[in-house]
Amino acid sequence: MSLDLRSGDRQHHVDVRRTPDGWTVAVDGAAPDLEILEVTGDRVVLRRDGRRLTARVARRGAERLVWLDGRAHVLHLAGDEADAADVIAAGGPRHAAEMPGKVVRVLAAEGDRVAAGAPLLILEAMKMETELAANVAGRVVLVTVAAGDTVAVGDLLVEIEPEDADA
Amino acid sequence: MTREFDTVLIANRGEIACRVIRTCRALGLRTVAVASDADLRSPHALMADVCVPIGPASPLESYLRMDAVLDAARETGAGAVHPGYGFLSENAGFARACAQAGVVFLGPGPETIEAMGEKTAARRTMEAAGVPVVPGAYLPAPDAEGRVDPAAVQAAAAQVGFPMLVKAAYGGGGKGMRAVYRPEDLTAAVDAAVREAAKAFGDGLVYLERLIQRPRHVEFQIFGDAHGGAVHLGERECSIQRRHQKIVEETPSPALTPELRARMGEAAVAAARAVDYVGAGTVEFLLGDDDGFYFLEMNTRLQVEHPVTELVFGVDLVEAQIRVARGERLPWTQVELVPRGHALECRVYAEDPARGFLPSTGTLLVYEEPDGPGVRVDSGVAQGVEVTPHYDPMLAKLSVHAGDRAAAVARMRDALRRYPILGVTTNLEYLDAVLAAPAFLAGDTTTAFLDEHLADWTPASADAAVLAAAAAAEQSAAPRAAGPTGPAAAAASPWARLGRFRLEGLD
Repeated sequence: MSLDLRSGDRQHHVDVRRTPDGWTVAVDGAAPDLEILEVTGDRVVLRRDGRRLTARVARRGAERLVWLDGRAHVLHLAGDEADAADVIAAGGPRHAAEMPGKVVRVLAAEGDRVAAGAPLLILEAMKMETELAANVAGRVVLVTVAAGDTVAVGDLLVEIEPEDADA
Repeated sequence: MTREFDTVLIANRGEIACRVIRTCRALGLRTVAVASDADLRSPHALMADVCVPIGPASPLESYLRMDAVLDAARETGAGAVHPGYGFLSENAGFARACAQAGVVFLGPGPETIEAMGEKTAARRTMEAAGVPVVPGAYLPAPDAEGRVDPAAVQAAAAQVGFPMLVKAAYGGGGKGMRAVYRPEDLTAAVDAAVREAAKAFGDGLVYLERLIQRPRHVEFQIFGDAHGGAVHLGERECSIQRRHQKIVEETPSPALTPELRARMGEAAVAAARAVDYVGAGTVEFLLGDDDGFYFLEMNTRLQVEHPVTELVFGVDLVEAQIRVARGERLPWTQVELVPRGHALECRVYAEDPARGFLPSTGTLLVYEEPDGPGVRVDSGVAQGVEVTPHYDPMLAKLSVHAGDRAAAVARMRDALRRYPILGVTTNLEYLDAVLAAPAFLAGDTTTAFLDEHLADWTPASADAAVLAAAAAAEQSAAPRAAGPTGPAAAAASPWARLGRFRLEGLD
């Protein structure tokens, strides 16, 4: 089986095949120094550097979650770019919720001019308050929430039309 | 009035509810859980002999509702209530309501909770008892709008000096607390602390305290009985904190000499005696780099990190709470309390250390706890359980016990690496990085540790083995027809695996 997997911003081509003698593995065209010993359900047993390791794998939509040797990783099946395009880039003029929670207070209104770093709203999750600050200076053109609203990760909250620093 | 009871209601959730239920069982007591709508299928609810639903997910409508908890106790014939930590554990009104309802509250009396729960009154009591306190200043109560008189804030700030902490008078666990380094940030910090405190503790009263820079946080476990007995069970070093919440704790503290330990232990017992303390409590101190120590607060409940104390002393603190509540004397004298070896605890959180420790929610698709000699896990979750945004994101406490500190660190690092969790992001890899830091191994732990040593931490990226594992599992899960080279152990089903041997015989 061939699989294109994205890890962060890097894409990899992985080829894994079952043969009568075991498994063959190629990652980005090269054979890595490891051996697949056994696959049972969500457990994949590997040998690397003489050590026997059991990986755990779970699926969540187009995500493949892998735990190996104390580290958990989130991989994405390639071809999932539609999802990726919807994701609001961090640090940009469109501000999204970074955690699920409740809006405690909205500090900016549409039409307001704000400086970079100015507080836009206060979110509360798991009993901790976090301030959402403006990534850029400019004019607030959209506020989608009001105090008391519940938000999910990735929800667009505030959009700012950036201004030139010397305007 | 009889203090006997055969049924204990646990007015809490998660790992602490499970931990209390275990001890009650061992003592032959019947257990009653209470659960919000979000928790009806969670481990604590399923573990107790009886579970009573007490309302919607929001804590204000469930776990913080005294009437609902006491109704549940009455319905189920529970003669005692264990409050755990958080929620109603340090609520004097609840302790009083329990007494009025004829139910034993497994904690100190309401007067003690009141005296210690309001941190400013606690400071005054300890000053009077000769226990050193951090320099600070008090503020008037906020008005109905949550505003504190600005003139009073300015006057108090001038007295304390920057940098300072704004702290919730009824607070704990970093909630309702703000560090302020510049005068222009003070008003916003006071407002935010008042709001957070009002929500978390039901009272927005805050005060100011000088910020001791690079301190250690060292606390002493104390225990008192109704016959005037009071002992301490050594210290816990809790300096490794993020957002003022502890993530790694240990005992003994690498910072204490036997001489300093003895002096702090005496001060802790003096603090307990000053309020005729009955039950389990914790006296928290800030320890400066000059070995000066200051009373910070006294927690009138079982502490989250109590397992490390249990491990080195070989005691069960919940069992002792129950015995003392029944009117028995303390099960130990001070000279009998001799610690052995070294214990560490790591708090396993559903959060993303690479993104400012933002809480992470989701369903636990894989969850398997490590075990082995000297390894203890206190958890309140299980595979398949959903981690919701309604409650604290702590999943479990991983504790280890070994002969010395180096052995305990090695044992902990091994256990951290044998703890597969998928479905939420956790801090397990970050905890391993904390324990691997040379400064940690050197015992140089202060509350500034994470900022000083892990600010640049990033998680390991996926390597070839990770990618290969994902692809192998994918191949294995694919329909049989897709694999021309063999059946490829199709799924977890044993029939699929049996099939493989038959076909190989035909080859």
